Formats: sequence, structure tokens, C-alpha cells
Amino acid sequence: MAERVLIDGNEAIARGAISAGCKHFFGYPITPQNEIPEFMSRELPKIGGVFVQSECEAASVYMVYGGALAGARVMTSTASPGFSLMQEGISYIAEAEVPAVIVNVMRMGPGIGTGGQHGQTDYRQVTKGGGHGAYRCIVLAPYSAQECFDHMQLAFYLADKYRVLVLVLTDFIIGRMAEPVELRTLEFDPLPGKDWALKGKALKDGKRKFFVSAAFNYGGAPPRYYQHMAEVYQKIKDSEIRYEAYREEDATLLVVSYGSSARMAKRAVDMARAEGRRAGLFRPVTLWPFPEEAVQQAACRAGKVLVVEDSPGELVEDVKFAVQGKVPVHLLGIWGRYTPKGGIMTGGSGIIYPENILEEVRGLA
Amino acid sequence: MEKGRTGYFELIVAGRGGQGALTIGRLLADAGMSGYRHVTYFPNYGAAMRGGESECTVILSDQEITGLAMLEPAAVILMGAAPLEEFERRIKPGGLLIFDGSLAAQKVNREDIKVIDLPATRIAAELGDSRAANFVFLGAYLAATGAVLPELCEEVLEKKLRGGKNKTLLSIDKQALREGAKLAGVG
Repeated sequence: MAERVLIDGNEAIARGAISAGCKHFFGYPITPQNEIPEFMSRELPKIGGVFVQSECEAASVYMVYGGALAGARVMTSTASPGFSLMQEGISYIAEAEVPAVIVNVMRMGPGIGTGGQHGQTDYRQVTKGGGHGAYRCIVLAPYSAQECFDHMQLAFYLADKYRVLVLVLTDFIIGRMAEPVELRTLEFDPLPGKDWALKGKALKDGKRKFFVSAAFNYGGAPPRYYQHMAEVYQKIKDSEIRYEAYREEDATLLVVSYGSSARMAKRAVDMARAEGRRAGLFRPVTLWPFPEEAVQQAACRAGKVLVVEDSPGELVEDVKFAVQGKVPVHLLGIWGRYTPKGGIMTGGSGIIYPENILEEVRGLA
Repeated sequence: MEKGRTGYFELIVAGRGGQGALTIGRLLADAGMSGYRHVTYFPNYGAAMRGGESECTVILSDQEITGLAMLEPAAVILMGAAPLEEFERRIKPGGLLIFDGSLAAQKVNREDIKVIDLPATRIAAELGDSRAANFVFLGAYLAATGAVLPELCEEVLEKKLRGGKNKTLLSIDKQALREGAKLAGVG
């Protein structure tokens, strides 16, 4: 059996990347993801890898772009404001169709953030794309340290398989919570060779390789680039949707939640069940592609939906779109946080505890 | 099976940055790794390194841990001048509160919880270093609940503090752990 260690989600991300063969990391420090570059800066040189602390996130993302063009497994990690700075580069990587992995350990709020370290307020940006040009990225949302480790291996595999960017979305809670992680190496199907990669000056079939941004390559009217990308995205939708359904077969209330909020919601479902209330949990693991059909089916079976997210309401939009008005969709958002009284303790800005979710569930199931 | 072990323990340790609330929480989680299938350690802290609010939640369980934090914990260790009222109200009926009454402005009013009032800072100072107060608290918690054996915590501590300079500190920390267990009245 693989070694079992107590590490936090951030370290699990870093270890997972290394176990996937990532030896190149480019990043810039920002809370709450600093444990990732810290680990990488210490460990990558030991295995012949490269760690670069760039001058800013806009530079990190282009270093990732360059490494990906050379065919290496490369990554960066950041938190919300840094992720915004990367949008231009992300759009370019998407256009060039080179595989890479970017981790966003969210922190709450627009701009510099609003003090509290936890929050899930980047959902819309990460799933819909903050850059220009109608590209798509696969988005994985781990909810445990083990999943952080496993999802990094999956992320590199999916990136290579489809030649897309894979974004791994966590937050302060998932990043800093420590849990036992089994350091297991996951098995995946064989991948095609990276014959497109730019490696030195080697000639291919007697011709010098010349890389041009993908969208220009396709030409045509209507632009064949979009037709090609639509096919790629459809393939991803057909085979890569992942989710977890928990105690939802006979549920009369479907709780939909992801990441750290799903941990709290899962506990709330158990508490509700202990009271005889038939609640179940639906947890999207891929936020894009979003498990639309599965959500709709589970929602219709239950007849009622409660979305729980530590945000003013972003996931709820995807859920409503999936459910198509067939059943009512309620939201327990950031206002559902318990705020401590009589002091500035417990993080000050509050947390959505399982008990707060249970209270909401009681009103609906 | 350890003394008093029931397969599930949850604890919030609250203090101010620098008091070592996170240190003993993480230590408990590390020690819990050998006896429990599932462990979570969730630190929650502000931007300030010292003096800011600092809190962690530890869960040790034989079953999958679905939540990772809770509004109503079974046990709370309050270090220093952490807000007593807030946590006193939240503890589950039949739960456990460990705090330093000599530093608290108010009294505990609840009668449906077990209260251990421990002058941890004074005890640690008498042992040679007031900064070991966190270990007095942890010792008391271990003795009161049997969640993990103090020896396991000592082992983890020895691994973490391995190296010459920390020998005195290690010795004081271990004494503080024992002293806390003794004073909890059940150790």
C-alpha cells in the first residue's frame, strides 16, 4: 500500500503534480497557496526540475505557456487576484492548444480580497473563462486533500489527452486543511506522443517545424477554428464529466455543492438523515464540463434543490440552467455564514457550518 | 484500544497568534494518525502572524469525516483571553470546556458541560517557560477524553523538535503535557 501522510491540500497539490511527472513550476507568492510554491521550490531541484519565482503572475503564466510548447508537464498556482492577472496568458494557451495545469486556491472577494481568507467567489470566472475568445478549460474541484493529490494527476492526464488547459479550483479551507493522503500513483490510458512539441531545432519529415497560433491556422468562414474546438469540447463533455451523488436515491431535497462547501453540506445531509429528513448531496467534481444532465435528473427525482456555496451565488446559475425551471432551486450563499458574537474570533468573517445548512434543510425537507 | 476511546473526537482550540493553539491542534492530529483511519486538522487564522485570532479544528474518527468544522463542538480549549461567551454558548450539551479561569473576565454559566479551569500559563511559567501553556491545555484534554495517549503526542513532539537547541524546550513541553493531565483530575 502507498505511504499515508498527514498533509494539507496545498502540499497534496504539489506532491500530486510531482507524482504526475511535473518538474517545472513557475509562480509568484500569494496567500493562501504559498505552501505549493514553497514545496516545489524545495523539492523540484532535487529531482532535476526547475522552480522559478517570477516577477508577477502575468509572467508566470507565459513561462507556463513556453514550457507547455516545449512539451513538458508544467504548472503554476495562484490565488484569486493572481488568477485575474493570468487571464491573457490563459487565453493564449487555450488558443495554441497546448496542455498545462493551473491551480487557483481562491480567496474571498474582488480586488485584493476582503480580509477573510476563505470563500468561493471565483466560480464564475474560473468556469466561464476570465479571458477573451470563448475558449473552455476543464475545471476540477477537489474537496479533500486526497482529491487534491489525485486530481493533479488527473489534471495532467486530461490536459495532455485533449491539449487543453486544466484548472484546479480549491480555496483556503481545502488548501490549508490537513488530512491523511495515500500517496498513490493513478493509472491512466496511454497518451499520444507530443509530436507537435517544439524541441530544439530538430527537423520533422525534412521540414523545420513552425508553430503558429492555432486560430490563424484554421482559416475558413465561418472560422473553422471554432468548429474544431467545438468538437474537442464535445469529446470532453462526452467522456469527462465527473460528480459524486451521496444519499440522493430517495432524497426529497437535493443539496448541490462543491469543494469546501460540499464537505459542510455532506455533514449536514448526514445530520438531516439522522432526523429522518430525506436530504441527499450532489457534488459536481468537474465544474466544466458541468454535469447538467445528472443534476437535472437528480433534481427532478428529489423535486427540490438547495444550492450551498460560499459566494453570493454563482454555482446556483449553472444549477438553475441545468434544472430548466422544472423544480424550485434555493440558495444558501455567503449570507448563510455563521458570524461569531462577542469578539473578533473564529476568522471574524464567519463560516457556513453544517449546522447552518441543516437549519436551511429543515425548512425545505 | 486506548482508554476511553470511542472512535470519534472533535476539538476546537482557540487562541491568539503566538500562543500555540495551532501547534497543539496539529500535534493532536499527527498523533491521531496512528490510531484513527480518518483525521482532519483545519487551521483558521487571520493575516496577522502574532496577536491575531487563531483557531483550529481537529477531528479524529474511525469513519469518513464529512464535515471539517462545526458550529457546536464537543470540546473546546480556550487559550488566554479568547472570548469565553462565544464558545461557552456553542459547546454541545455534555461537552467539554478547558480554559484558564485566571485570565477570563467572566465566569462559566453553563451547567450541562464539563469545565476544566486550568491556570495553564502560571503552571507553564513555573515549569520554566510560559510559552508551554498550550501543552498544559493539551495534556488536560488528553487526560479528560483519552482521544490519544500522551506518549504518542510526546513521540510526535520529539520528532518535530529533533535537534540540539530544543532540548530544554522539549523537556518543558513534555512536563507541561504531564502536568496538564495531572491537573485535569483524571490523569
